[in-house]
Amino acid sequence: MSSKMQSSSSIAQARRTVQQLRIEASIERIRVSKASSDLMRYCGEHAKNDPLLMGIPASENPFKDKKPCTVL
Amino acid sequence: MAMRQTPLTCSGHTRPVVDLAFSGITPYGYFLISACKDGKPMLRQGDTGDWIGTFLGHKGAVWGATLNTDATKAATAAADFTAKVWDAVSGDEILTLAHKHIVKTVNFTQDSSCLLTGGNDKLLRIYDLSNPDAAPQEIAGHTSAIKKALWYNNDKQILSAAEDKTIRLWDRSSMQEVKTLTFDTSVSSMEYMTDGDILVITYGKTIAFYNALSLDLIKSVEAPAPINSASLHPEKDFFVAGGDDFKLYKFDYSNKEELESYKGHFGPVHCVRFSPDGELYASGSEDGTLRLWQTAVGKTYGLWKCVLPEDLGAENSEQLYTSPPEIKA
Repeated sequence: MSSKMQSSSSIAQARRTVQQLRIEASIERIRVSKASSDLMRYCGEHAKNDPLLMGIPASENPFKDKKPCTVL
Repeated sequence: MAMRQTPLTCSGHTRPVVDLAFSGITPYGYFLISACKDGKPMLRQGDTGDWIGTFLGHKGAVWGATLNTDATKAATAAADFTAKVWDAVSGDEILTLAHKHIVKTVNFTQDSSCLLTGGNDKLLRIYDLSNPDAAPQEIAGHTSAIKKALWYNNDKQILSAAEDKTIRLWDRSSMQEVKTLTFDTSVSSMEYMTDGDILVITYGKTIAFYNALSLDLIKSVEAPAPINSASLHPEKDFFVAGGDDFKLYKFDYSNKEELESYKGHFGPVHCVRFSPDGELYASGSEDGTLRLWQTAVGKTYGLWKCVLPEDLGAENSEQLYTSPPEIKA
């Protein structure tokens, strides 16, 4: 009984492995040199939209230092 | 006028890279294979360093790897006591050749019909690849582990270097020892320029050049540090060497002067090889990376592009050469 259950779970496991391998085999691949130059070009073109490079305007920054408030 | 160059760093291996080999120039460019202690040799495009594929199958550290001239076959020597022959186009394993000890070196004949292997069992073996089940021819003689074996003199002879501090020349048909060169210390590497006439041997801090026909010493050069591997440019104007101080040295061949040294690796350099067109050289290191270095720094080749400093009013004419991506495979 237990061997039957084990074999059915190993079939299920094998099925999942084959499915995973099929997914991996169909992933589109490009050369590393092309991928890295594409990445660099993208970062360069979108540099002005990058808050880490351009900074965040003080008006929109929720974490900017606020003046101390006094309670009368 | 110092010219800085950025090498192409190829990562992907997880252990030290111990051997490298280039193929000849094929209609698809040229290729590079790297042998690594992680047991997974990798095939790369020779001029860009792009990863093409990994040969899976070895169960131990791969000590030697080679490609045949047209890059259709690859052979690897590993610590799992086997040498394997692979189809370099599909990545499939074609043959597994069992040995009695760790195999350290493999070499194809020029027509890829035979494979020479050598390793810790002190024997040289010649396998006929058209008849792989037949027992290989064995050549005995070395008294300790063989580090490197090469086909020599149009595949008529065999040259082997071993831990017994000798390099022996064997005649292929008679299987007899023809000549022996003895050294004071173990030879770290041996490279033969097929179209020439020069054998490059490294031991200790010395890089020695021998006449390939007579095996007479032409000249020898002392480097600043122990050298593990050296390679002579196809046009024989200079050579490069790398060793235990992590640097790559470039020397002028005619006057033996040290021209440049390059830092970059984070561990001892185990092997250096020039590409078949001489435009770049590859170095494999203990740090697990391969680096591709330009021979003529500043030339636009492969992924390298010459970039001059913005400020034209600079006093010194220092030119910066950058490669667009730092390649990580």
